[in-house]
Amino acid sequence: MQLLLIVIHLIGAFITLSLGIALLLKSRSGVNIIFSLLCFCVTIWIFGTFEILLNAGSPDVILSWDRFVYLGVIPMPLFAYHFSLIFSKAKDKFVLYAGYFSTIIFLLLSRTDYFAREVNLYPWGGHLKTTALHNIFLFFFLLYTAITLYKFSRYYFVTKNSLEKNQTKYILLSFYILTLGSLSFAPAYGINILPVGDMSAIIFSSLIAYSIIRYRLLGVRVILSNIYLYTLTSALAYAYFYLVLHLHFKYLGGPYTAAALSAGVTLSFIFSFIFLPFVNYIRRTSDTIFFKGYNPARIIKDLTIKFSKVIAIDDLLKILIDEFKKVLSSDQVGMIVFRNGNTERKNKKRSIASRQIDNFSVEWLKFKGKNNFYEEVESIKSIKVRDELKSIGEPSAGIADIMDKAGIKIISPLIAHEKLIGTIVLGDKISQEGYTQEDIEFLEIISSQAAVAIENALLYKEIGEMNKNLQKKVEEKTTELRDKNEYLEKLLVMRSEFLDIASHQLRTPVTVIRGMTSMILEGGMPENKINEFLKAMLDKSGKLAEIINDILRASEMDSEKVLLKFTKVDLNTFLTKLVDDKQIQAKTKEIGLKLSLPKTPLPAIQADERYLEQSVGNLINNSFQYTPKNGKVEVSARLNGKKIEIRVSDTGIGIPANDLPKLFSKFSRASNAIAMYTDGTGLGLFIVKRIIEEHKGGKVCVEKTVEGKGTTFLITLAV
Amino acid sequence: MPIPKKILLIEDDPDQVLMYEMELTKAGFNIFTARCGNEAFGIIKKEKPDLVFLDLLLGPEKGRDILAAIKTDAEMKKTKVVILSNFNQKDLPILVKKEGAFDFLNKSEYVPKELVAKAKEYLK
Repeated sequence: MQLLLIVIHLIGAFITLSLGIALLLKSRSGVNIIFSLLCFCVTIWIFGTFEILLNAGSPDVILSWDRFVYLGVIPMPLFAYHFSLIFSKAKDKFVLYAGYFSTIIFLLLSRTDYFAREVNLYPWGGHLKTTALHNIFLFFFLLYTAITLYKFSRYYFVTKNSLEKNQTKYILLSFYILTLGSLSFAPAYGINILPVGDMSAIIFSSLIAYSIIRYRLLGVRVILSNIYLYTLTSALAYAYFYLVLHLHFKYLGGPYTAAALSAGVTLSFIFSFIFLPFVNYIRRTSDTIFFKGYNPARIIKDLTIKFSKVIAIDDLLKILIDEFKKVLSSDQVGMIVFRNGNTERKNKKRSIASRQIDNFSVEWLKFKGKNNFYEEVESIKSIKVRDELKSIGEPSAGIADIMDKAGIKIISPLIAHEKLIGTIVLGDKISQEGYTQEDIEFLEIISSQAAVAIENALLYKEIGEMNKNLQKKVEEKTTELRDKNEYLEKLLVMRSEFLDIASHQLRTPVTVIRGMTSMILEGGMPENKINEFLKAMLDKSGKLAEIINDILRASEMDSEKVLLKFTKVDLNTFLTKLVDDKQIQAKTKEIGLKLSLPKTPLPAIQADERYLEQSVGNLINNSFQYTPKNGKVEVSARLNGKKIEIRVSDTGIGIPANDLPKLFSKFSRASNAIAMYTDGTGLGLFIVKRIIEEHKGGKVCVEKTVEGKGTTFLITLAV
Repeated sequence: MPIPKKILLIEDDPDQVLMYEMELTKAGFNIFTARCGNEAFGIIKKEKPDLVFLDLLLGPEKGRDILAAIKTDAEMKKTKVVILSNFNQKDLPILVKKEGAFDFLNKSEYVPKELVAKAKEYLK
């Protein structure tokens, strides 16, 4: 029993000392220093008791060790109280300073007989006999312990931070248990109970250690896990050493015999075989204990393999979200990937390239004005836990505001190549517990891995889109080029046909004029024949002029914007004169030409009279040329609202439907035109269209046409 | 006095008919004129002209169709047809000669007197 107590005290001292050192190594912040001091005090207490247990029966030794114990015990309530102040962010300076003052007094006086003298001896050891001052100290001890417990209890109910609530829960429990250690005062008053109250110190430190691990209290998880690993590893070495030593003494006659030395070689081999698997086993259990079953290396390995199999951004997000849900046990998980997160910095406009948001509303996802999501995330740079952020109104207020609105508990920016490309957001855990340190570290590690994978996926997507666009563009351009090429080829054919026809049309009158002139010059021709020749020549030169005119006008209209000179034109007189002029031609062709005008005179319009004459004239000529003998051509005009409509209709050969679309283009002739009209250049309608469209509200079209029956052309002009 | 050679002129432009008929008649040829294919075929079959001048653009008809008709008709195919046209595509003379024309003359290059000389040459 005595041995068990000794061992427990030794272990307890070791644990509390380790805890104190670990905390100091981790951070020299106020809370850590105070808590370390508390740990050291507990260590002194437990270690002192360990010595007392060891020296049971020696009053002098017990006396000095018990005075040593009080060096630790006296400041304990004060440090605990101070710790509670810092932890609960309370400020109660008077009580604190009074405590320090009293503690110093008690410490000084604890060396004197006013505090305690002699020893109450018990079978297991002993305890100082208290005197008057010890009673006052006991009161002080219980008072500060009570205040401390009160502080933590109140904080537990006040705080809304779930993480701190969890931490407080464990601290409170630890301190309640520590309070049980007060039972150790009993032997001082002659009550013989074993110093089992000291057990509370061991439970206290273990609980604190647990909450450190579980709830990031004081943040020493890594150090503790290392201490765990090294302690157990060295324990193995020692145990093996003693086992070997034992074997040597028992069976081989001591460690230095030849047999022992040669056995040593084999045993060393055996040790080396045991050692590595043991260390690995310890490391695994360390992961399980300290990282709550996370094995970051394994999870990352698994995830990396999964990443490498996906390249589509949406699939990648899905994998990540699933993993987060599984590992962090939260069903509120969101991943947002920003579009052009690394370019377009100037206009600051951001949008979402891809997102998967489970069980969150998304109103907070905005990229304009106050609480611009992108800017706020960009400003935080590293993972943020809402409960650890300052409250609203301070520098990180923007992101805190968004997190509150959205119900986000943790936000982790995804940063690749120093650029923010997206973010992970997490809501509450399903259990409503706070996120633990290992959760956050897991997120940190995965965030950086995910950022790279997402960036790759984005690049892949971008390249894919670029390729698609490029292909589309190439196809568009190819089609465009092909169309253009076809058009040009067609144009070339039309142009060459035009040249053939135009040159034929030009040569025909020239042939006649030249031929007849040469015959007249030969002489011996009767007067009446000469006259007949001259008339024919005049007619042919007129035709020649007309054709030349057409060609020139067409090329003029083709090359630049037609410059018209607009004047007021009275359509009544204009049309009457034009139709009168055409009557001679009509008679020669034996075609009836008629003009019908409304009874109310037409209003004047703004037009270039010369060009308008050519346009309407061309239509009349066309009708003549495609209308057989005894046919009829009618020119009519009327006012339709604010438009003037001029129609030229004939009883000619009509236009095949196939030829209508290209009718007004240059060099175009209806496929049946060649049959009737041998003088056409294919330029007439092109010229008409260009001229009319230069006029205000000007349009020309084939109003109706029936093959073999006739055609009506319609010119529309604005009044 | 030798029998005057018969020449058929297939042409629809009255001015040209007037001009060529007058000059060729003056040169002592016996001239027939036709404005279209059917008219021409009748004359060819009846008069068996020694030479035919054929225009390529004849109102609704194409001269080359008329040429083809002459050259595929057993009765007419031996007729010597010379194309007389103002078309001057490079390959046209070769084309019409392949189709049976004896020669191709560009109208604007020959005044009537020169055409007479050509006719005499063909009828030698």
